[in-house]
Amino acid sequence: MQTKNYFDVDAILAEEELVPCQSNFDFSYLSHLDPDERPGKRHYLPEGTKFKVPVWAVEKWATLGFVKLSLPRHFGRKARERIEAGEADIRKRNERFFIAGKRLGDLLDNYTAHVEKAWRRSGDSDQRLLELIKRESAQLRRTLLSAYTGQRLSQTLNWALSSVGDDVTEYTKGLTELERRLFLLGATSASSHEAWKVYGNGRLLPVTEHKRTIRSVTPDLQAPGNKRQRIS
Amino acid sequence: MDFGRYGRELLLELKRSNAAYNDTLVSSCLQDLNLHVRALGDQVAAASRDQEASTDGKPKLSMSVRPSILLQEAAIHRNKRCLLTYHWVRLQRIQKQYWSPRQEDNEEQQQLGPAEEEFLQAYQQLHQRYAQNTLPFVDDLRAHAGLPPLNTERVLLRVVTVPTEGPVVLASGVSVEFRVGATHFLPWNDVEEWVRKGHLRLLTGEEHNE
Repeated sequence: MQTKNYFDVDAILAEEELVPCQSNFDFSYLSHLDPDERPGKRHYLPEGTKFKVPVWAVEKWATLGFVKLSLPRHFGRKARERIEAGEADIRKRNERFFIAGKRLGDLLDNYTAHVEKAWRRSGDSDQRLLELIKRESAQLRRTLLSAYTGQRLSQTLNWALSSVGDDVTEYTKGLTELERRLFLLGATSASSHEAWKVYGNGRLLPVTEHKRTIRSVTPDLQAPGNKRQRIS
Repeated sequence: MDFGRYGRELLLELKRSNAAYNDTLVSSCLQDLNLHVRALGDQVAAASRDQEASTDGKPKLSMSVRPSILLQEAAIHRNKRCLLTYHWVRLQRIQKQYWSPRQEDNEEQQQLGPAEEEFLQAYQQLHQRYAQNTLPFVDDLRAHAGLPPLNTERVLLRVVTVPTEGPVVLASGVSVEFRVGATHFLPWNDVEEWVRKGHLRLLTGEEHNE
Protein backbone atom coordinates (compact mmCIF):
# COMPACT_ATOMS: atom_id res chain seq x y z
CA MET A 1 0.00 0.00 0.00
CA GLN A 2 1.37 3.44 -0.86
CA THR A 3 2.57 5.69 1.95
CA LYS A 4 -0.03 8.32 1.23
CA ASN A 5 -2.98 5.95 1.71
CA TYR A 6 -1.40 4.02 4.56
CA PHE A 7 -1.28 7.13 6.77
CA ASP A 8 -4.58 8.58 5.57
CA VAL A 9 -6.61 9.04 8.76
CA ASP A 10 -9.98 9.30 7.00
CA ALA A 11 -9.30 6.18 4.93
CA ILE A 12 -8.46 4.24 8.12
CA LEU A 13 -11.55 5.50 9.95
CA ALA A 14 -13.74 4.76 6.93
CA GLU A 15 -12.80 1.09 7.31
CA GLU A 16 -14.64 1.09 10.66
CA GLU A 17 -17.92 0.88 8.72
CA LEU A 18 -19.79 -2.20 9.96
CA VAL A 19 -20.67 -4.76 7.26
CA PRO A 20 -23.50 -7.27 7.75
CA CYS A 21 -22.20 -10.85 7.27
CA GLN A 22 -23.38 -14.40 7.56
CA SER A 23 -20.98 -17.19 8.50
CA ASN A 24 -20.73 -20.10 6.06
CA PHE A 25 -19.52 -22.58 8.73
CA ASP A 26 -18.75 -22.73 12.46
CA PHE A 27 -16.13 -20.17 13.58
CA SER A 28 -14.12 -21.28 16.63
CA TYR A 29 -13.24 -18.74 19.37
CA LEU A 30 -15.59 -16.11 17.92
CA SER A 31 -18.83 -16.66 19.80
CA HIS A 32 -18.63 -13.08 21.12
CA LEU A 33 -19.40 -11.78 17.61
CA ASP A 34 -22.95 -13.16 17.86
CA PRO A 35 -25.16 -10.27 19.04
CA ASP A 36 -27.64 -12.74 20.59
CA GLU A 37 -25.05 -14.94 22.28
CA ARG A 38 -25.36 -15.58 26.01
CA PRO A 39 -21.91 -15.43 27.69
CA GLY A 40 -20.40 -18.83 28.36
CA LYS A 41 -22.99 -20.73 26.34
CA ARG A 42 -20.59 -21.85 23.63
CA HIS A 43 -17.12 -21.13 22.29
CA TYR A 44 -17.86 -20.95 18.62
CA LEU A 45 -19.98 -18.94 16.22
CA PRO A 46 -22.47 -21.31 14.56
CA GLU A 47 -22.91 -21.58 10.80
CA GLY A 48 -25.49 -19.17 9.45
CA THR A 49 -25.11 -16.59 12.24
CA LYS A 50 -25.76 -13.02 11.14
CA PHE A 51 -23.44 -10.45 12.65
CA LYS A 52 -21.61 -7.23 11.81
CA VAL A 53 -17.87 -6.59 11.62
CA PRO A 54 -15.79 -3.65 10.34
CA VAL A 55 -14.53 -3.62 6.75
CA TRP A 56 -10.92 -4.11 7.84
CA ALA A 57 -11.86 -7.28 9.76
CA VAL A 58 -14.00 -8.93 7.08
CA GLU A 59 -11.84 -8.33 4.02
CA LYS A 60 -9.82 -11.53 4.24
CA TRP A 61 -12.87 -13.59 5.15
CA ALA A 62 -14.69 -12.25 2.11
CA THR A 63 -11.94 -13.13 -0.36
CA LEU A 64 -11.73 -16.67 1.05
CA GLY A 65 -15.49 -17.18 0.98
CA PHE A 66 -15.87 -17.62 4.75
CA VAL A 67 -18.87 -15.28 4.91
CA LYS A 68 -21.71 -13.95 2.78
CA LEU A 69 -21.68 -10.16 2.55
CA SER A 70 -24.36 -7.54 2.17
CA LEU A 71 -24.39 -3.77 2.21
CA PRO A 72 -25.05 -1.73 5.38
CA ARG A 73 -28.53 -0.22 5.52
CA HIS A 74 -27.47 3.36 4.77
CA PHE A 75 -25.74 2.14 1.59
CA GLY A 76 -28.68 -0.09 0.58
CA ARG A 77 -31.17 0.41 -2.23
CA LYS A 78 -33.72 2.57 -0.39
CA ALA A 79 -31.04 4.78 1.12
CA ARG A 80 -29.42 5.21 -2.29
CA GLU A 81 -32.72 6.30 -3.80
CA ARG A 82 -33.12 8.96 -1.12
CA ILE A 83 -29.55 10.14 -1.65
CA GLU A 84 -30.04 10.39 -5.41
CA ALA A 85 -33.21 12.38 -4.78
CA GLY A 86 -31.24 14.74 -2.55
CA GLU A 87 -33.38 13.98 0.49
CA ALA A 88 -30.73 12.46 2.74
CA ASP A 89 -28.32 14.06 5.21
CA ILE A 90 -25.25 12.27 3.99
CA ARG A 91 -22.89 13.37 6.76
CA LYS A 92 -25.36 12.17 9.40
CA ARG A 93 -25.29 8.65 7.92
CA ASN A 94 -21.50 8.50 7.86
CA GLU A 95 -18.98 11.31 8.23
CA ARG A 96 -16.83 9.52 5.66
CA PHE A 97 -19.70 8.41 3.47
CA PHE A 98 -17.93 8.61 0.11
CA ILE A 99 -14.67 7.06 1.28
CA ALA A 100 -16.52 4.26 3.11
CA GLY A 101 -18.81 3.73 0.13
CA LYS A 102 -15.90 3.35 -2.27
CA ARG A 103 -14.24 0.97 0.16
CA LEU A 104 -17.39 -1.12 0.33
CA GLY A 105 -17.62 -1.19 -3.45
CA ASP A 106 -14.03 -2.46 -3.64
CA LEU A 107 -14.79 -5.06 -0.97
CA LEU A 108 -17.80 -6.39 -2.84
CA ASP A 109 -15.88 -6.53 -6.12
CA ASN A 110 -13.01 -8.45 -4.47
CA TYR A 111 -15.52 -10.77 -2.85
CA THR A 112 -17.33 -11.61 -6.09
CA ALA A 113 -14.07 -12.04 -8.02
CA HIS A 114 -12.52 -14.44 -5.53
CA VAL A 115 -15.68 -16.39 -4.80
CA GLU A 116 -16.47 -16.79 -8.50
CA LYS A 117 -12.96 -18.17 -9.11
CA ALA A 118 -13.27 -20.59 -6.20
CA TRP A 119 -16.70 -21.78 -7.28
CA ARG A 120 -15.50 -22.28 -10.84
CA ARG A 121 -12.71 -24.54 -9.53
CA SER A 122 -14.97 -26.51 -7.21
CA GLY A 123 -17.95 -26.72 -9.52
CA ASP A 124 -20.26 -25.03 -7.00
CA SER A 125 -22.30 -22.15 -8.26
CA ASP A 126 -24.75 -19.58 -7.00
CA GLN A 127 -24.67 -17.24 -9.96
CA ARG A 128 -27.85 -15.52 -8.90
CA LEU A 129 -26.27 -14.38 -5.63
CA LEU A 130 -23.10 -13.24 -7.35
CA GLU A 131 -25.01 -11.29 -9.99
CA LEU A 132 -27.05 -9.60 -7.26
CA ILE A 133 -23.92 -8.54 -5.40
CA LYS A 134 -22.26 -7.28 -8.59
CA ARG A 135 -25.34 -5.25 -9.41
CA GLU A 136 -25.45 -3.79 -5.89
CA SER A 137 -21.80 -2.80 -6.13
CA ALA A 138 -22.27 -1.12 -9.52
CA GLN A 139 -25.35 0.76 -8.32
CA LEU A 140 -23.54 1.88 -5.18
CA ARG A 141 -20.68 3.29 -7.25
CA ARG A 142 -23.15 5.12 -9.51
CA THR A 143 -24.90 6.63 -6.51
CA LEU A 144 -21.62 7.74 -4.94
CA LEU A 145 -20.51 9.32 -8.20
CA SER A 146 -23.76 11.15 -8.84
CA ALA A 147 -24.04 12.37 -5.24
CA TYR A 148 -20.45 13.59 -5.08
CA THR A 149 -20.19 15.21 -8.51
CA GLY A 150 -23.65 16.71 -8.67
CA GLN A 151 -24.97 19.83 -7.01
CA ARG A 152 -22.88 19.21 -3.88
CA LEU A 153 -19.61 19.55 -5.78
CA SER A 154 -20.56 22.75 -7.57
CA GLN A 155 -21.80 24.30 -4.31
CA THR A 156 -18.67 23.24 -2.46
CA LEU A 157 -16.37 24.73 -5.10
CA ASN A 158 -18.43 27.88 -5.31
CA TRP A 159 -18.32 28.43 -1.56
CA ALA A 160 -14.65 27.49 -1.31
CA LEU A 161 -13.54 29.98 -3.93
CA SER A 162 -15.81 32.86 -2.97
CA SER A 163 -15.91 32.87 0.83
CA VAL A 164 -12.56 34.43 1.78
CA GLY A 165 -13.00 35.98 5.21
CA ASP A 166 -16.53 34.63 5.67
CA ASP A 167 -17.82 32.35 8.38
CA VAL A 168 -18.52 29.10 6.54
CA THR A 169 -19.47 26.94 9.54
CA GLU A 170 -23.09 26.70 8.48
CA TYR A 171 -22.16 25.32 5.10
CA THR A 172 -19.28 23.02 6.02
CA LYS A 173 -21.09 21.28 8.88
CA GLY A 174 -23.12 19.36 6.28
CA LEU A 175 -20.10 18.19 4.30
CA THR A 176 -18.46 14.80 4.55
CA GLU A 177 -14.74 14.60 5.37
CA LEU A 178 -13.76 14.18 1.71
CA GLU A 179 -15.78 17.26 0.75
CA ARG A 180 -14.30 19.22 3.63
CA ARG A 181 -10.82 18.41 2.36
CA LEU A 182 -11.80 19.68 -1.07
CA PHE A 183 -13.34 22.79 0.48
CA LEU A 184 -10.19 23.47 2.48
CA LEU A 185 -8.00 23.18 -0.62
CA GLY A 186 -10.21 25.59 -2.51
CA ALA A 187 -10.44 28.06 0.37
CA THR A 188 -6.68 27.96 0.92
CA SER A 189 -5.93 28.70 -2.71
CA ALA A 190 -8.53 31.49 -2.77
CA SER A 191 -6.94 33.03 0.35
CA SER A 192 -3.46 32.72 -1.13
CA HIS A 193 -4.69 34.42 -4.27
CA GLU A 194 -6.17 37.28 -2.25
CA ALA A 195 -2.96 37.59 -0.24
CA TRP A 196 -0.95 37.76 -3.44
CA LYS A 197 -3.19 40.54 -4.76
CA VAL A 198 -2.73 42.51 -1.53
CA TYR A 199 1.02 42.06 -1.05
CA GLY A 200 2.17 41.69 -4.60
CA ASN A 201 5.11 39.43 -5.36
CA GLY A 202 7.89 41.36 -3.66
CA ARG A 203 10.60 39.73 -1.56
CA LEU A 204 9.56 39.01 2.00
CA LEU A 205 11.39 40.65 4.89
CA PRO A 206 13.39 38.53 7.38
CA VAL A 207 11.53 38.45 10.68
CA THR A 208 14.07 37.35 13.27
CA GLU A 209 14.58 40.33 15.57
CA HIS A 210 11.92 42.87 14.92
CA LYS A 211 8.25 42.30 15.62
CA ARG A 212 6.34 41.32 12.55
CA THR A 213 3.69 43.75 11.45
CA ILE A 214 1.92 41.59 8.95
CA ARG A 215 -1.68 42.64 8.58
CA SER A 216 -4.49 40.16 8.59
CA VAL A 217 -4.67 38.30 5.30
CA THR A 218 -8.39 39.01 4.99
CA PRO A 219 -8.71 41.62 2.25
CA ASP A 220 -10.97 44.63 2.42
CA LEU A 221 -14.40 43.22 1.67
CA GLN A 222 -15.79 46.62 0.84
CA ALA A 223 -13.30 47.19 -1.94
CA PRO A 224 -14.99 46.62 -5.28
CA GLY A 225 -13.72 43.82 -7.43
CA ASN A 226 -12.08 42.02 -4.51
CA LYS A 227 -14.67 39.31 -4.08
CA ARG A 228 -16.24 36.83 -6.41
CA GLN A 229 -19.99 36.93 -6.51
CA ARG A 230 -21.37 33.75 -4.99
CA ILE A 231 -23.80 31.95 -7.24
CA SER A 232 -26.71 30.80 -5.11
CA MET B 1 -10.10 -7.52 23.92
CA ASP B 2 -11.95 -4.91 21.84
CA PHE B 3 -10.85 -5.23 18.27
CA GLY B 4 -9.34 -1.92 17.11
CA ARG B 5 -11.04 0.31 19.69
CA TYR B 6 -7.92 2.05 21.03
CA GLY B 7 -6.54 2.58 17.54
CA ARG B 8 -9.81 4.23 16.52
CA GLU B 9 -9.74 6.50 19.57
CA LEU B 10 -6.16 7.56 18.79
CA LEU B 11 -7.16 8.62 15.29
CA LEU B 12 -10.31 10.38 16.45
CA GLU B 13 -8.21 12.37 18.90
CA LEU B 14 -5.90 13.35 16.02
CA LYS B 15 -8.87 14.65 14.04
CA ARG B 16 -10.42 16.52 16.94
CA SER B 17 -7.63 18.63 18.36
CA ASN B 18 -3.98 19.56 18.75
CA ALA B 19 -4.00 17.90 22.16
CA ALA B 20 -0.84 16.71 23.90
CA TYR B 21 0.63 13.29 23.17
CA ASN B 22 -1.70 10.74 24.73
CA ASP B 23 0.69 8.33 26.37
CA THR B 24 -2.11 6.40 28.10
CA LEU B 25 -4.00 5.69 24.92
CA VAL B 26 -0.84 4.71 23.05
CA SER B 27 0.05 2.29 25.87
CA SER B 28 -3.45 0.80 25.77
CA CYS B 29 -3.20 0.33 22.02
CA LEU B 30 0.20 -1.36 22.35
CA GLN B 31 -1.16 -3.58 25.12
CA ASP B 32 -4.12 -4.52 22.91
CA LEU B 33 -1.74 -5.35 20.07
CA ASN B 34 0.32 -7.59 22.36
CA LEU B 35 -2.84 -9.38 23.51
CA HIS B 36 -3.73 -10.11 19.90
CA VAL B 37 -0.22 -11.41 19.23
CA ARG B 38 -0.48 -13.70 22.24
CA ALA B 39 -3.96 -14.88 21.25
CA LEU B 40 -2.76 -15.57 17.72
CA GLY B 41 0.17 -17.61 19.02
CA ASP B 42 -2.09 -19.60 21.36
CA GLN B 43 -4.64 -20.34 18.66
CA VAL B 44 -2.02 -21.40 16.11
CA ALA B 45 -0.35 -23.66 18.72
CA ALA B 46 -3.70 -25.21 19.68
CA ALA B 47 -4.67 -25.65 16.03
CA SER B 48 -1.32 -27.25 15.19
CA ARG B 49 -1.89 -29.82 17.94
CA ASP B 50 -5.35 -30.63 16.54
CA GLN B 51 -4.35 -30.72 12.89
CA GLU B 52 -6.40 -32.96 10.66
CA ALA B 53 -4.87 -35.16 8.04
CA SER B 54 -5.82 -34.16 4.52
CA THR B 55 -6.50 -36.54 1.61
CA ASP B 56 -2.88 -36.26 0.45
CA GLY B 57 -1.54 -37.06 3.91
CA LYS B 58 -0.23 -33.56 4.66
CA PRO B 59 -1.54 -32.01 7.89
CA LYS B 60 -3.77 -28.96 7.58
CA LEU B 61 -5.50 -26.61 9.96
CA SER B 62 -9.15 -27.16 10.73
CA MET B 63 -11.43 -24.75 8.82
CA SER B 64 -13.20 -23.62 11.99
CA VAL B 65 -10.06 -21.99 13.49
CA ARG B 66 -8.98 -20.15 10.34
CA PRO B 67 -11.41 -17.18 10.66
CA SER B 68 -10.23 -16.43 14.18
CA ILE B 69 -6.57 -16.66 13.22
CA LEU B 70 -7.16 -14.30 10.28
CA LEU B 71 -9.10 -11.90 12.50
CA GLN B 72 -6.29 -11.77 15.07
CA GLU B 73 -3.79 -11.06 12.30
CA ALA B 74 -6.02 -8.32 10.88
CA ALA B 75 -6.36 -6.76 14.34
CA ILE B 76 -2.58 -6.77 14.80
CA HIS B 77 -2.06 -4.98 11.48
CA ARG B 78 -4.89 -2.59 12.30
CA ASN B 79 -3.41 -1.55 15.64
CA LYS B 80 0.01 -1.20 14.06
CA ARG B 81 -1.37 1.03 11.31
CA CYS B 82 -3.23 3.23 13.81
CA LEU B 83 -0.14 3.64 16.01
CA LEU B 84 2.14 4.45 13.08
CA THR B 85 -0.39 6.90 11.64
CA TYR B 86 -0.83 8.66 15.00
CA HIS B 87 2.90 9.21 15.33
CA TRP B 88 3.45 10.06 11.68
CA VAL B 89 0.71 12.72 11.62
CA ARG B 90 1.95 14.31 14.85
CA LEU B 91 5.51 14.44 13.51
CA GLN B 92 4.27 16.05 10.30
CA ARG B 93 2.45 18.69 12.35
CA ILE B 94 5.56 19.39 14.44
CA GLN B 95 7.70 19.83 11.34
CA LYS B 96 5.06 22.07 9.77
CA GLN B 97 4.92 24.13 12.97
CA TYR B 98 8.70 24.52 12.87
CA TRP B 99 8.77 25.74 9.28
CA SER B 100 5.67 27.95 9.39
CA PRO B 101 5.75 30.69 12.02
CA ARG B 102 2.39 31.32 13.60
CA GLN B 103 0.34 33.79 11.59
CA GLU B 104 -2.65 34.49 13.82
CA ASP B 105 -2.87 34.70 17.59
CA ASN B 106 -5.80 32.33 17.75
CA GLU B 107 -4.10 29.60 15.73
CA GLU B 108 -3.72 26.56 17.96
CA GLN B 109 -0.23 25.13 18.32
CA GLN B 110 0.41 21.41 18.58
CA GLN B 111 1.05 20.54 22.23
CA LEU B 112 4.11 18.34 22.55
CA GLY B 113 5.01 15.41 24.75
CA PRO B 114 8.55 15.02 26.20
CA ALA B 115 9.72 12.74 23.37
CA GLU B 116 8.31 15.16 20.82
CA GLU B 117 10.16 18.06 22.45
CA GLU B 118 13.36 16.07 22.07
CA PHE B 119 12.51 15.37 18.44
CA LEU B 120 11.92 19.08 17.81
CA GLN B 121 15.25 20.01 19.38
CA ALA B 122 17.08 17.36 17.39
CA TYR B 123 15.31 18.53 14.21
CA GLN B 124 16.32 22.13 14.91
CA GLN B 125 19.94 21.14 15.50
CA LEU B 126 19.96 19.12 12.30
CA HIS B 127 18.61 22.08 10.38
CA GLN B 128 21.13 24.47 11.92
CA ARG B 129 24.05 22.14 11.14
CA TYR B 130 22.88 21.89 7.54
CA ALA B 131 22.35 25.65 7.24
CA GLN B 132 25.77 26.47 8.73
CA ASN B 133 27.50 24.16 6.31
CA THR B 134 25.64 25.28 3.20
CA LEU B 135 23.77 28.52 3.69
CA PRO B 136 24.69 30.84 6.58
CA PHE B 137 21.22 32.27 7.08
CA VAL B 138 19.63 29.82 9.50
CA ASP B 139 16.71 32.05 10.42
CA ASP B 140 16.13 33.14 6.86
CA LEU B 141 15.23 29.63 5.83
CA ARG B 142 12.40 29.74 8.26
CA ALA B 143 11.16 33.19 7.42
CA HIS B 144 11.40 33.23 3.66
CA ALA B 145 9.45 31.35 1.06
CA GLY B 146 12.37 31.31 -1.37
CA LEU B 147 16.14 31.01 -0.98
CA PRO B 148 17.93 33.96 0.67
CA PRO B 149 20.76 35.81 -1.07
CA LEU B 150 24.26 34.38 -0.79
CA ASN B 151 26.99 36.03 1.25
CA THR B 152 28.78 37.80 -1.56
CA GLU B 153 25.74 38.84 -3.54
CA ARG B 154 24.97 42.54 -3.79
CA VAL B 155 21.40 43.50 -3.05
CA LEU B 156 19.26 46.54 -3.69
CA LEU B 157 18.21 48.29 -0.51
CA ARG B 158 16.14 51.23 0.59
CA VAL B 159 16.85 53.01 3.85
CA VAL B 160 13.85 52.96 6.17
CA THR B 161 15.57 54.35 9.24
CA VAL B 162 19.22 55.40 9.54
CA PRO B 163 21.13 52.55 11.19
CA THR B 164 24.19 54.61 11.94
CA GLU B 165 24.80 58.37 11.62
CA GLY B 166 27.35 59.81 9.26
CA PRO B 167 29.55 58.04 6.69
CA VAL B 168 30.46 54.45 7.53
CA VAL B 169 32.97 52.01 5.99
CA LEU B 170 31.50 48.53 5.65
CA ALA B 171 33.46 45.28 6.13
CA SER B 172 33.83 44.88 2.38
CA GLY B 173 35.49 48.29 2.19
CA VAL B 174 32.53 50.13 0.70
CA SER B 175 31.93 53.57 2.17
CA VAL B 176 28.32 54.70 2.49
CA GLU B 177 26.24 57.35 4.23
CA PHE B 178 22.64 56.40 4.95
CA ARG B 179 19.77 58.82 4.49
CA VAL B 180 16.10 57.94 4.90
CA GLY B 181 14.56 57.03 1.54
CA ALA B 182 17.88 56.55 -0.23
CA THR B 183 18.56 53.46 -2.35
CA HIS B 184 21.84 51.57 -2.22
CA PHE B 185 23.38 48.50 -3.91
CA LEU B 186 25.50 46.83 -1.24
CA PRO B 187 26.98 43.40 -0.35
CA TRP B 188 24.48 41.34 1.58
CA ASN B 189 27.06 40.23 4.13
CA ASP B 190 27.59 43.86 5.22
CA VAL B 191 23.97 44.81 5.60
CA GLU B 192 22.28 41.62 6.79
CA GLU B 193 22.09 42.72 10.40
CA TRP B 194 20.49 46.07 9.52
CA VAL B 195 17.96 44.39 7.24
CA ARG B 196 16.98 42.00 10.02
CA LYS B 197 16.53 44.90 12.40
CA GLY B 198 14.36 46.73 9.90
CA HIS B 199 16.61 49.72 9.23
CA LEU B 200 17.00 48.69 5.58
CA ARG B 201 14.50 47.09 3.23
CA LEU B 202 15.32 44.70 0.40
CA LEU B 203 13.95 45.77 -2.95
CA THR B 204 12.97 43.91 -6.08
CA GLY B 205 13.21 45.48 -9.49
CA GLU B 206 9.50 46.43 -9.48
CA GLU B 207 9.59 48.26 -6.16
CA HIS B 208 12.64 50.23 -7.30
CA ASN B 209 10.40 51.96 -9.80
CA GLU B 210 7.93 53.23 -7.16
